[in-house]
Amino acid sequence: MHIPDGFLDPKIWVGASALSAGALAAAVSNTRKVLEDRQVPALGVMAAFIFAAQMINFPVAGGTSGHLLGGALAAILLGPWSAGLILTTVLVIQMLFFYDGGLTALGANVLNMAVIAPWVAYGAYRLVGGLFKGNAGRTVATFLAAWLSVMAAALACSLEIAFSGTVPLAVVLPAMLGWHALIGIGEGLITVVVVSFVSRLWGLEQTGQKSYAGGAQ
Amino acid sequence: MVKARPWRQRPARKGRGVTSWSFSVNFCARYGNSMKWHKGWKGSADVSQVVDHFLQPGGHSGSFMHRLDPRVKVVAVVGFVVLSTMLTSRTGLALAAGFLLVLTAAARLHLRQLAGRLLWLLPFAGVMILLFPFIIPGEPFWRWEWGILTLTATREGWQHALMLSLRVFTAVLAVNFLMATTGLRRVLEALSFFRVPAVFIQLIEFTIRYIYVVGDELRRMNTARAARGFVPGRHLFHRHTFRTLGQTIAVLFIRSWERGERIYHAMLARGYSGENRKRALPPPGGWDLAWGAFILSVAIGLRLFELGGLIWLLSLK
Repeated sequence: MHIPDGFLDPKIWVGASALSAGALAAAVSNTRKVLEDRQVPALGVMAAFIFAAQMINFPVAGGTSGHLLGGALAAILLGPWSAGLILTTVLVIQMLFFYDGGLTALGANVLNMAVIAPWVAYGAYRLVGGLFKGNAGRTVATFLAAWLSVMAAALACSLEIAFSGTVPLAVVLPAMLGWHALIGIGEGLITVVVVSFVSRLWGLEQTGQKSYAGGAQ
Repeated sequence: MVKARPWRQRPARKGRGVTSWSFSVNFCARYGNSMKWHKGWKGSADVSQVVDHFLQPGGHSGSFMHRLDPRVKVVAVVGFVVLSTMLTSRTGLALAAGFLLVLTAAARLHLRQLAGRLLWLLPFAGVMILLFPFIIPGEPFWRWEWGILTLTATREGWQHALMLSLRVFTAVLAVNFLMATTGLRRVLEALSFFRVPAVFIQLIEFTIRYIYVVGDELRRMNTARAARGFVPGRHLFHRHTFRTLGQTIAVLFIRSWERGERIYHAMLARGYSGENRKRALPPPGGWDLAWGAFILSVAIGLRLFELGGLIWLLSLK
């Protein structure tokens, strides 16, 4: 889902970069309230974790595979503000070291995967988790949060590419959403396992209590 | 009484299972041949080699390109990428890429290494060139009819694909030039000069540092899982696969979390206060600025050439 350089119109990437910059500025000031600057090393380890988790492929169908995006995972376990910072760091490193996503498209990639994905996941998790109580409710909420976060990121990505005039909307939208609807299932399943495992271990009533950023409070 | 578990009895699958098949459709050869880590669980952690490559400037560090002020280089390269990805003509893009190749050669970077790292572009460009003629409307140059099914390939389609591939190629060359001649530390110094919040600079530094550690942890876990006879399923509804992978990631999360706390406490014990000592960069010299201006002016020149060329063509009509 990483958009490379040259696929976006200047209007689109400048706009997306401005939105991302605003979101990140809010994230910095919000995490600073709860999180002391000193805890940055711990956040760095979590970013390295997300980076490693994205390396694990899962089977999709017919020999193809997908991999975790981690937006929902980070948002549910660490809160959406810290998730934004962590995922942005991961995207910057992927861009600088692996050319995964373009320099000019960085703002758009951050918007899709580090702002929209965690916030959609967080919103869905709180909303659905509030509707259905108990363990089953949390499972459903986690799965939906992860699936929706992948779909929202894919939707934003297709819209950005289509409005730049690179690929017609009628082509990119079904292709991206169709594929990511499948990827989202894998993301959802893995996120459910991870969140239930971690919260069992932490013995949390409410996930996010241990959050660095306190975003989940 | 433990219930018999079908996966225990299943013989290990030979040949091209999902694990050994390194092709992933969504990110085909995502990190190219330089990053075997990504491709299944048994790959080696070549990611560290890639990271190593850019932590310290590559090539002959004596070249004058390496000694240019990092701030000037960051501005020049970002400007170059911005301007050159707006180019639409193949000539302009080819000239931009050629200029960057000359810069890369002038910096005496290892071209062989660069070529290896550019290989991942080929499947990407190939897929685009095969696919785009069928999805971009335009003048048809090839048609295939079979019953009611008609496939039409358009000239605009493959030209568009070629242009996009050239843009990506140019941008990759530019980023490689910046990273390989500057090294991460100096790029971050430049970014911090440009008022990128310190929290990001520090986060990037810490993340790079711990990618090795967490990656090694993951590799050990993958080996252990393989040693226990884990064979991943082939589709999304293979419960055991997802439970196992989920647990791997969960344990990795817990271990990373605890490691993060240990590191934080150890750093506090050594007097870490969250402040980073910012080394003030000396002001860029005239030589640095001249080179920056030259790189930028090439990009501006190409852009003007393209606009001018267009006007010239229009005036002929």
